[in-house]
Amino acid sequence: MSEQAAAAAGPAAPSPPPPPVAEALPPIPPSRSVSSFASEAELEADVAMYTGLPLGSENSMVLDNGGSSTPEGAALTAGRRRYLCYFMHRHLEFRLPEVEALADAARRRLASKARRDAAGSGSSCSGSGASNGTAEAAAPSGPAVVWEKPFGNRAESPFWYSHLDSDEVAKDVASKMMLPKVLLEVWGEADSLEGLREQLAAYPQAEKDKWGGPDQSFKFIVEAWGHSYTMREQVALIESMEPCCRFEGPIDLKNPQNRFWLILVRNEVRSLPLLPDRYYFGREVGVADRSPINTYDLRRRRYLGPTSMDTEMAFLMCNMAQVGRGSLVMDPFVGTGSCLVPAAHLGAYTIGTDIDVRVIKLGKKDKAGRPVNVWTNFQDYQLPPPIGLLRCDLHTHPFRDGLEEVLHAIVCDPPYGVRAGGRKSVPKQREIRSREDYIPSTDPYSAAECMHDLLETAARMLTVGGRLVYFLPAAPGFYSEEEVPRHPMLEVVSNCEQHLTSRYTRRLITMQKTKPYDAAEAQAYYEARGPPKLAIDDMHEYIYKTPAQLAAEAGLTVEEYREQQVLRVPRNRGKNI
Amino acid sequence: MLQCHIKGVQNGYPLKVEAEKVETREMDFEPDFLRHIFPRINWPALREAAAAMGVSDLPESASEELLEDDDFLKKFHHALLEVHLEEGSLVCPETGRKFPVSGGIPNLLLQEDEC
Repeated sequence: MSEQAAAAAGPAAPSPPPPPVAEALPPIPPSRSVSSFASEAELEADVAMYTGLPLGSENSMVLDNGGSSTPEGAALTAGRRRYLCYFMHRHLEFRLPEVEALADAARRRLASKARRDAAGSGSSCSGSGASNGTAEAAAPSGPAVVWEKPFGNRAESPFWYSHLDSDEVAKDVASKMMLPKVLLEVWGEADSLEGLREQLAAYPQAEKDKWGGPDQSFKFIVEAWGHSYTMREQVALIESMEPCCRFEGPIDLKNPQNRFWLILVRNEVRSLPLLPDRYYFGREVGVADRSPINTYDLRRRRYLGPTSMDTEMAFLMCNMAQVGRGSLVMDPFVGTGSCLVPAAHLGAYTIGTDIDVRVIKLGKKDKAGRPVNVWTNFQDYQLPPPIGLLRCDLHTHPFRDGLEEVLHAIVCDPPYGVRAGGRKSVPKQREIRSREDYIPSTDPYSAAECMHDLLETAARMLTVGGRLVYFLPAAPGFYSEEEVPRHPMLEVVSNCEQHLTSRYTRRLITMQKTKPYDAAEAQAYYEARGPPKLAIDDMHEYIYKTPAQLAAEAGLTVEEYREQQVLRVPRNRGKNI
Repeated sequence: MLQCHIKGVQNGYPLKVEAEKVETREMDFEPDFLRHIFPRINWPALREAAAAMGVSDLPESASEELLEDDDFLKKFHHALLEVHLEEGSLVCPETGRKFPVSGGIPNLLLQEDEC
């Protein structure tokens, strides 16, 4: 759906002539149950399709809808604030892990800031530091986010509730989030507009006064999900809500101090989940800025390769990796630098390495014949260039012995031989006449070996708590939970599937380093596991086989095979990407 | 931070810098990052490399206390992040093997008889 244009209206404005439009406002369509749009059977099929939808995260804390008012739920959410997290209807498995990663990073950043402030005030002015000390005593514990499922416990719905530590954390999350559109402090939620108006009227006046005083400018935003309203219908909606709020301040459409969202879920689009009608009203605590996706759009980037990472996904990867100001981020398969551009945008220092000299150094010529390379990609956006670009090989890497705990994050899209194959240096007996201009040969690098080297490097080079984020290719029949690479120093945080084609998907794996590197333990682990082998090493063949070949293997005619394939298409395909 | 990784080489660190062309570019100053990276840096190696690239104002030795000194942090920041070797080589102290640096990118790929 397209985002609705904002509209606003307010209390009987003292401005000169009253707008004539007010008399002729169109009627607001009545609420209805979803069954008037879809048949019972359609509805059932839709619910069934999303049943068991993976949430991406390995250990999310998820309560049922309304679960925060049960005794157990109340204990878990005590001291937290509840926000409606309204998501884009995209990348369903990536939604929760992204917010969790951002909230966790925000919490840690605020805690270290509080520590510094406390230390600072303690040494300089010991008298007034007392209040800081008490604030720090209530350090938050438990998971960074306690989730509450959307209405009807429909996990596919984009209206999740998140319980976060504070407004400060929520604002920090909002400054980077890509999948949620907005975080709202909910003032009312109902299944009809009348119900919503009643709730809003009953919302505590003291709370309303905090945000609706005479000196605070405001604006209403109408957001329709699954359908659209004309501008005049939006004005009518706002006028109908306004008497319940009684804000005294001036309306400001450009730069209001407070923004209030009226969200109407009224699905009339069959390709979206068939959710029942629902109405929300809330105060905006933080809104997403998705403009970087446009700023760094690959279509306008001068230097690209066939596997350059899509900008939205690259930002998601950096968010999962908790990249922030002053982080040190490495991409060992840097290619054209597409995973590092968002990291630099977020204020990180970047390092890129690659084995292919053509990619990393020589670059290409753009349409005007000017040379373009990784450096120019950063220059074009006026981003700080990588602090290091190296041509080297992860397999026989040149980082000094004992160099550990340097990187805050490793973000990469390893070569798996599906679209681009990996290469590595190999020992060979060969006569080398001149070392200066000799071009060493490289051998194919299997995905299993590549993963082994990547995890080993991460286990050594990441700081404790630092994150490794990478893609793992998958296909129906080629993915099993056991094949997700493991390492004794790294723990899987999230595993989110992105559908690419009906035969090919990939999973974004986020791992966190849990303890300092121990060479003996890592060695013992690998010995116990045996030589690395992954089914995905054979995936190239499978993905590029023709239907005729696949049908012959299965002993079917092409038509029979195709029919079977339709049934095997990933079930959410088309509905969530 | 790099060492010579040719198989069998015992003492491949630190690589010596032979500079032909050095570029200076401005980077954002981030004291927290410098405090993070400082304990991971071999100070004499950084000092020697910086000197080879024409930055000679780093003190002979450095300790954690200096990290509270803004003037020192600025110098450290400049030497570590702003001075960039464009053309030249990195030389292994044991074997004398030169790893060429061109276009600001060191080529540390090994040849077949080295790995």
